[in-house]
Amino acid sequence: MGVTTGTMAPALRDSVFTELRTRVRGAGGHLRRNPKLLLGLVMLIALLALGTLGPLVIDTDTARPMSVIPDQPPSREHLFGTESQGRDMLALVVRGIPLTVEIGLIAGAIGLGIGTVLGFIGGYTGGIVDTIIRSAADIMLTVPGLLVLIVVAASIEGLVSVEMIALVVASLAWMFPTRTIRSQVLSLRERPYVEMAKLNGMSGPQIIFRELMPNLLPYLGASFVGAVGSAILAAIGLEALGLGPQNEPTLGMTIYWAIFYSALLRGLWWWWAAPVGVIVILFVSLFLIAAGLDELANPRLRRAES
Amino acid sequence: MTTATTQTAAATLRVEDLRVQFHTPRGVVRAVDGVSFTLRPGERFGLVGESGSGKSTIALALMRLIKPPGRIAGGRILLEDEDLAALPEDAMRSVRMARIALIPQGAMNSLNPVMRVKQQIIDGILAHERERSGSRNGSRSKRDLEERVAELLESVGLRREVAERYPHELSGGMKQRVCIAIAIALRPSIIIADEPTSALDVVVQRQIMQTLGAVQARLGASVLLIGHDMGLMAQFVDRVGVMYGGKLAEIGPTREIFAEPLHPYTQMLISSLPSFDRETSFVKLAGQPHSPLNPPSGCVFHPRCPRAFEPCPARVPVLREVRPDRFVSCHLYDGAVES
Amino acid sequence: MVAISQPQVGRQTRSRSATALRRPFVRYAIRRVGVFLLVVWAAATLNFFLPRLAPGQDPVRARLGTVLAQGGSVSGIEEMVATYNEKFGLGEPLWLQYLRYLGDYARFDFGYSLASYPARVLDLIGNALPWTICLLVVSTVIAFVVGTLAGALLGWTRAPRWLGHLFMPFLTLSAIPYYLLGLVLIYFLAFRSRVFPLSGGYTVGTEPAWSWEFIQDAVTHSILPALSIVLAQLGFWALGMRGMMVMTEGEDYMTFAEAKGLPPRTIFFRYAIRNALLPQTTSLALALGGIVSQAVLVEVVFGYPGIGTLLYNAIKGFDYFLIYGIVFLVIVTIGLTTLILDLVYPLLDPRITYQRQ
Ligand SMILES: Nc1ncnc2c1ncn2[C@@H]1O[C@H](COP(=O)(O)OP(=O)(O)O)[C@@H](O)[C@H]1O
Ligand code: SF4
Ligand SMILES: [Mg+2]
Repeated sequence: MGVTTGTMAPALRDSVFTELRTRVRGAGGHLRRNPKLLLGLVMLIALLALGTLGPLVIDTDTARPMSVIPDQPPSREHLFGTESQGRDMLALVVRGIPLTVEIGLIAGAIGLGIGTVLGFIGGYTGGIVDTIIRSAADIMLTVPGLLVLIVVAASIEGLVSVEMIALVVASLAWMFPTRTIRSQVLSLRERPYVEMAKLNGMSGPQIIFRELMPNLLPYLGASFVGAVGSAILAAIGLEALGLGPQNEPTLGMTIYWAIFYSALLRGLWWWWAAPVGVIVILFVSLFLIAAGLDELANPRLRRAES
Repeated sequence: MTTATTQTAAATLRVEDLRVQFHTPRGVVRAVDGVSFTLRPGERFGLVGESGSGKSTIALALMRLIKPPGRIAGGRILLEDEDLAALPEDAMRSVRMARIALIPQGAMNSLNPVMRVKQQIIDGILAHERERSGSRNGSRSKRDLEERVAELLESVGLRREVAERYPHELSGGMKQRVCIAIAIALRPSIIIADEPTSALDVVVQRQIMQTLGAVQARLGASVLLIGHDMGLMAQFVDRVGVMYGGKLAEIGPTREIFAEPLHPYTQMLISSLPSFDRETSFVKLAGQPHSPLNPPSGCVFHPRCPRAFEPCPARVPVLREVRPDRFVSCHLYDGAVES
Repeated sequence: MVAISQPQVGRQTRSRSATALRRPFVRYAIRRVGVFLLVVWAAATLNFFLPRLAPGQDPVRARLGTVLAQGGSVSGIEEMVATYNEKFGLGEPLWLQYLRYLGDYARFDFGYSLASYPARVLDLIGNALPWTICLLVVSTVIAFVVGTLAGALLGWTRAPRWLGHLFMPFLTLSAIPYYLLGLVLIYFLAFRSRVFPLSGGYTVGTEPAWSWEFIQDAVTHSILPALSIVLAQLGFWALGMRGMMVMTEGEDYMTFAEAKGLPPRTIFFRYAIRNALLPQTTSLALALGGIVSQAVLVEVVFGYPGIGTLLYNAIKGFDYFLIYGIVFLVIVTIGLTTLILDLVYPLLDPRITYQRQ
């Protein structure tokens, strides 16, 4: 922004700033009226800050095995303690957050991308294409996702990478977005302004991008949060079973090693408490954000609550 | 206010200065803002007005069915000298259907999709008779009830087998008839019908109105018919009230209003009516109704009124009887009041 | 297939006398069972061809090779290789292998376990299944009933305000994966305060039997895992039901029900819940169908002797026959629950007819 404003005409710049200011204030108003969304965003931002700024403050090399004295409870030196392989828990968590979020974002984006394309095609064109898309999504939804993922992940030979887990998870992340977006497109298609656009000679893609997309943004946003959330959930599930990237300290793998080394029964509570705590914060924040977005998109829920 | 009481002595229902407000996040909507009218015994009274003028809100307020964020903010609803607005909820519940029945707007979806027609008539009857007799089982047998349901259905022009059907197995007109049957089941003294024929085709509309008229005549009940179709109103009701922006603009006998509308809004409505050879007669006027959140000052109609003059934006006109049985709320008639 | 795609909201005005209703039902039921068999067949076929599609050697043979190479300490492994070769051997044409395989699966004969030869896959599954069914069906049903009722009250505008505040924390719990909730519960209620056993389905050293003591022991062991499932699922059911109640409350028939002067109790149960419950029923059937795969993580965390733990160990031990057997079983379970749902649903929702189109 800084570079471009210099070249802008002052009047234009002023109007842009006013626009921006009212936008920000509008968003602030939304947030104040929507404490769930606000709290969720604050929690998520705090977590992401820990994951991104953490490496600048602490030494993440201690996330490697045998870099610290094993099995130490939290102390001033090791804020979250250390585990049996000689890794520092804080460093593990700081390294794990971006990895886990990365898996979620990749899988969520792929899932939402496929879902949006299929949903639009199905909802907009209708007919046999729609029937096929809808049936495929419905059938896939009844198949127990985790089970398929387990079988697929277990049959991957050799070392598993973060990206592979993301792809595995993404393969089952498209059905839900497909369904929601399809039904939204179906209902929007009937609206008068879409009829108007058709009468005005707009083409299919034009109608989709100019008329339908903007109206679907809240749903796309909510779907994306939902898709990322379920992708992270599935990925952590696979990892906790030991089917994740063995060489990367994702949050789920840390839990796997804690279970593997019986941290629970040996009283090493900090070993599992750190990743579990971070995951809980992550999920609760995603839950609150999704619930908040839902209320924005669907004001009737708001009334039921307050 | 004083005018409302002078309307007539004999009244089944007297509504005085009724106010309903919706407290939305963006401000207070005064959906009904000081409405007064009376329903005389056995008469057919119509309420017309554009969509959003507050007609359905009046209907729901009379039934005391306004839901949060809305509430009845003032006024009295006198049913045989009993103020419904002040009645405890329990007592109000026994008034509904038994003394005032509602045929709701959107009767297409007014029946519970998972219950048979029979059950939906019987549960209403039982809810009231249990209360009255105080006993759980009631005195009547199942056979009696079913016979009564069959008679009700036949009285609205349905075959008795309809009792066993589910709503989705019925056509729109049939569903509407079932709603009428439910409304008359307990022989109420007032029937409120909120746009009972919207979403029906013209032929069915006429049949439904005939049925409604027939059952009303048989019961001797008063009917409050709500609609935005002036043509249909003209054929059915004895008197009309014209709503604009949550207020009554004019009340009077139907013939007189059509022959000589007094309020400028009514004049617009009547002159916009199509000639008889055209199909529809829905109200569509030049200009936009105001936003319900910030109504204009003074007379709410003044931004659209072709005859607005100095006092209009400044002072709120009051509904007065300017001629016998003709009530108008407009500064044009300020001098015409015989006091 | 299945429930979600099926419902056709019928608009016919035709009369439906008793006989007219029964005949379409029989036709519908036959077709629906046919679809079920088709799904099962497809699953079995997939199970047969997937390992054979793997590039190079099929994983089962590779695995057997590894076991042998490691010294073949398992007694009878040669015998097993022989059996395996006979069944999947190169000697026979593929279609013959396939038919033989289908015959075996039709009799639920999944062969032997690779990891714990000579145990048969079916016996291993048979031992584990009752544990999973008891734990997960019971806790899922409890969560469904409590959560749905809570959600119905949350979505009911006339319910007292404090209910909302009471349930909000539980709704938030639903955001947490239940095996993690399980970890926390184990730590506080089993490790620290020793109120409940740490893990397992029964006390180590006792033999499963139909005695009062054993049942008591098993119930004690199942409370913590059940609690974590119930806590984590409550919110799911409550949120779903709340949404449906809010939708239902806006329906015209709710206003009309009130206009009839019905008491709130009647409106709540016969109008609101009765309608809002319909989609919940579909979710319940799907949840019950997916129980085995839900079970995996919670059973592993609690060391519970059910299908989930069995599957987990099978994966760890590359016990392919066992994995395929369990996957097949899961698909059959899901097919069966959706079949039951589809047959029963028209009774719950009269708008769904047995006729198609
Ligand atoms: N639940 C509600 N929340 C906010 N405003 C409402 C609500 N219901 C009705 N209103 C307002 O009340 C006014 C009158 O509505 P209504 O009585 O339905 O009009 P009509 O039946 O004449 O079309 C409208 O301006 C509408 O905005
Ligand atoms: S009061 Fe004035 S603005 Fe209102 S209707 Fe009469 S003339 Fe028109
Ligand atoms: Mg209305």
